[in-house]
Parts: sequence; structure tokens; C-alpha cells
Amino acid sequence: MNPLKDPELLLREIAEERVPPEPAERVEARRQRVVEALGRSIRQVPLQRERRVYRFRLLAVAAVLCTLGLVGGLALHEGGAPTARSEGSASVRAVEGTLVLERADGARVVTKGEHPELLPGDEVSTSGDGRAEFRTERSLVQVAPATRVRVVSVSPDEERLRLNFGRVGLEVERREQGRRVVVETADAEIVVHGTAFTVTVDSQSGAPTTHVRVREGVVSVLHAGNQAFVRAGEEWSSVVKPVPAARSEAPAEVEPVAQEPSSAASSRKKARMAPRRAATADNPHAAGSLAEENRMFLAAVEARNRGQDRAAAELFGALLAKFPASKLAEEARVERMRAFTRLGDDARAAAEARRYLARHSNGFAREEARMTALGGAARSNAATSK
Amino acid sequence: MPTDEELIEAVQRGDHRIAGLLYDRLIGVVDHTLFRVFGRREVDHDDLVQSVFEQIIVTLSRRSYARACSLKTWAASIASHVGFNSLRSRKRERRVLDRDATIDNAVVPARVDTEGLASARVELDRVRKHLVGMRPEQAQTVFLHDVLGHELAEIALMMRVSVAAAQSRLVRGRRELYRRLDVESARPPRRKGGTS
Repeated sequence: MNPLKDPELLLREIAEERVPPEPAERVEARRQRVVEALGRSIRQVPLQRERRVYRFRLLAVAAVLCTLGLVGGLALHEGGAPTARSEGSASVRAVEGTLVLERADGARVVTKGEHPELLPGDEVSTSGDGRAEFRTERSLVQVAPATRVRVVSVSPDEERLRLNFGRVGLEVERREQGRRVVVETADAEIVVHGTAFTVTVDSQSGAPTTHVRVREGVVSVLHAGNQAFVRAGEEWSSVVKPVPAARSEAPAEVEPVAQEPSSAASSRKKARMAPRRAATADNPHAAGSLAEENRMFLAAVEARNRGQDRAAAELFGALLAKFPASKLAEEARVERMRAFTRLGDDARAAAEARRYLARHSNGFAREEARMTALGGAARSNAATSK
Repeated sequence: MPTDEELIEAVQRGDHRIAGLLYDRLIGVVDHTLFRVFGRREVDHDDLVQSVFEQIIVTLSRRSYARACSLKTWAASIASHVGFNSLRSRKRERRVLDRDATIDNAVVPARVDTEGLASARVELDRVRKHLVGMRPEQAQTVFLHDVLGHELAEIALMMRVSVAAAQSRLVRGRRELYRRLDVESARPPRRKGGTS
């Protein structure tokens, strides 16, 4: 063992240790050396301070430049976004005759050789001898003479055009995923599933009517609260056809009369529809509910078209609450989900998306619903974690 | 005689004429502090003194010295810091403190027996060795408080910590030092050259 003194005592001994004096010549030599070095160091103090200030200013300027660069970059990025959207929206490719482009800041004539970008909200009108062609991300739109068409919106999920009157021909690329293309008219909405077709809006008895003619693929037409699929070679019109005498017993509102394809293929469809019609005739209550479903759906669609998303969501919700098993339920749920999304109510949009997926796992909007449901959940988690 | 404030302002102005005055004001405390850290004046003692003064000028010019304590106290703090850093670097190089303690005859008082004094020096060198092996902030706090006799409030100002933190460092540092000394005292003594 090697016993040691109390540590406190040892520390005190260090404190009390006698410091021996040094030889005078050594002390003087050290003084001379250190004082000389100190003098040099002290002389450098203002210089070093200036250097520090200079470095600080340099760093401050660099920081300001970096900040400006960052802010500028963000601004460019933010500013660049509409450009990217505009590239994704539409650009005029060819013009014949007169084409008038109407924008919020005024109207102007687009001359031949010009290729202006079409932004959401822009409206183009062709004269009686005019034609135009414009390209969106997914479709080629040919505008016939005497036509007025508006680019309603272009979002990652949807390209939407509104045909006020005249005729447009569309060739839409067939894709598994990506934005869908919708052409809306005063009384119908045509949803494209990858096809080539024309839509014409004219006026019969003073009311606008829509005609759809499909060359390739299939489009779905939403009219009067019903959905019909129009395939290649078929035509569809919103004109109410006179009900054949043989079927006069069936209530007119039961059958979406304007949705019958008029080609040879339509006879097969009529045959398929016949039993359903009979069943409806046997069930007057069901027939009555269909009329109301149609009315409620139309009211909701009109609210949506007017941009009244909250009212649209409520009307679609009322329809779903009253007729949960309606044939229109799928479309109503999708529209309700979209209305909530547009309103920024992510939680309710996600809830509606989940309901949609639960009931229509293979529905046409399943991908969109999945994204909405996931987006809502992600945002909800982010909010919770904050 | 210029006050501390006047000396500091002269340094910050770059007035090199006060170098001698500053040296004379602080050399005593710097020399004594370095002596207590090492237990002797090492061969590079003058270099260390110069390093301490250079460091003092740097801290004064950068306004790191908060003027909350006297210039001498500040100089002692810097000297202990420089001294312990030097000891640590030497320890890393395995050149000092692990070797057999050497006796500086100049330290030996005339009326004290040489053997007893050598034994005392060995014990004190053990304390220094353990201080160097400890966490720097704890070792410096123990040294400033228990060896140089500074108040905790003063140490807190010098080390730019709260008084509570300085107190904690002191308590922990002492505990660690005593633990190290206890462990060593329980260890069998080393045999020189492997023979008894």
C-alpha cells in the first residue's frame, strides 16, 4: 500500500508551495524578450481588429447575397410555376381565319404563325371561316369554325375545357394514369378515357344541346345526373328523344333518354336496358327516387360549375345521405371529395376519399381517391407531430 | 501607475509602449501560476510565460475579457489554462509526469531534510498528474479554487459559466481527484527496474 495524505491537504500544499526566486539576469532577459514580443503583438491589435471587421463585413455581404440568391431563387421558382403550368395547359399550334383570344386583361386577335400560350381562364373564339388547333399536355384540340371554347382549369389531375358553342374535336392520349380530360357544356360533361371524339354544342328550341361522337376509345358522358359510356362509332346527344309508344308506360325520367347511343351498337344496349326499364316500371317508388336523384345531382353540379364548392359539397352530401345506393353515388362521392379538396378541407376530402375507396375499390377515381386519402393522412400526421 | 482599465484601452488602441507596464503588472501572477501548475520552472518556462502574455493580448484585443474581474485574476486564469494545456500535450507525448519526479534543488529549503522533501514533491506531482488526467474544466476549477484561492463567483466569470455550474465543476472535480488518488493509494507501489 502507498498511503497518501488527505487530498485537501495536498492541494493546500501546492497552494503554499514556495516559489523560488530566479536569477536577476534571467528575469531581465525574459522581460526584454517578452516585452519586445508583447509590443509587436499590441501594435498588431488595431490591424487585426480591422481585418476582423473586414472579414465580418465580407461574411455579412456573403450572407446577404446568399439570402438574396435564395429569395430570388424561390421567387423564380414560384414565378416559374405558372409558366410550367402554362406549358402544361395549352399552346395554340395552328390558326386559320380569325381566332380571338380573350383573357382577363382584354381580347386580341391571334394571327397566323402566332403560338400563344393558353392559360386557365382564357377563352378562344373562331370566326365563321376560322379554325384553330391547340395542344394540352394530354390532348390535341381542334376548334371548328364558329366555336367558343374556354380553358377552365388545368391541374395535375384534370384538364377541363368548356365548350360554349360550336364544335371541338379532341384526340386524347391513352394513359394508365395521369390527368383526365373533361369537356363540359351547358348541359353535359364528357369525361375522356383516352380517345378521339368531337363535341358539338348547338341550339335546339333555344336551349343548348350537346352532341358527342366518338371515333376511337370510349368517353363517359354525364347528363341530367346519369352517366353513359359512348364507345367508338357511337354518338350521343342531349336532345330528349320522343319516347316510343310501346314504352310510354315507363316514366320518362326513369330512362336517361338522351343517352342512348344512336349507332347500330345502341340496339344491343337498348336490349340490355329493357329488363331494367321493366323492373323500374314495376317499382314506381324507385322511379320517383331516380327523378329526385337526378334533380339533386344536377343542382350539385350546377353549384360546382358556378364555383360554389361548399354548396356543391353539401348538395352532393345530401344526395348521398338520402340515396346512399344511388347509381350516382360514385360520381357524387368523387365530386364531393374534389369540392372539399378545392376548399382546402383536407380532412373531409380524405374522409370522403376513404368512403369512396371502401365502396368503389375499382372505381374510376380510385387513384385520385388514394392520393387524396394519403395526402390528408400525411398532413394530419404532420399537424399532430407539430 | 495606470489602472487596469487604462492598460486595457491602450492595448485596444495598439499602444505598444504599455507592453513593459503590462508585463510588470502581470509577470508575478503568471510566473507563480505556471510554477504551481508544473511544480517547478520547466526548461520552456520563458516560452510559456510569453504564450500566456500573447494569449492575454489576444483576449484583450478581441474584448473576450469581460472586465468583471481584475486583470491579475484574468491573467492567472489564462496562465493556468495555458499551463494545463501544455501539461496535457506533454502527457500525450509521454514525456512528463510519468517519469520519475526530479527535484529542483532550488526549491529545497535549507532546514528541511532532502528525503522528506522529495517524498512530498512526489505526492504533489501525483496530484498534478491526476489533475491533468481529469476533464479540463473540472481540473481548472479545482486548481483555480483550491490552489490559487479564487472565489467561485470569480471563477464563474473567468470561465464564462454560472456560479452554479462552477460549483458543480468544483464538487465533481474534487470528487474525481480524490477518487483517483484513492485508487492510486490502494495500488501496490511500482518497483523501479523490476527489482526490489
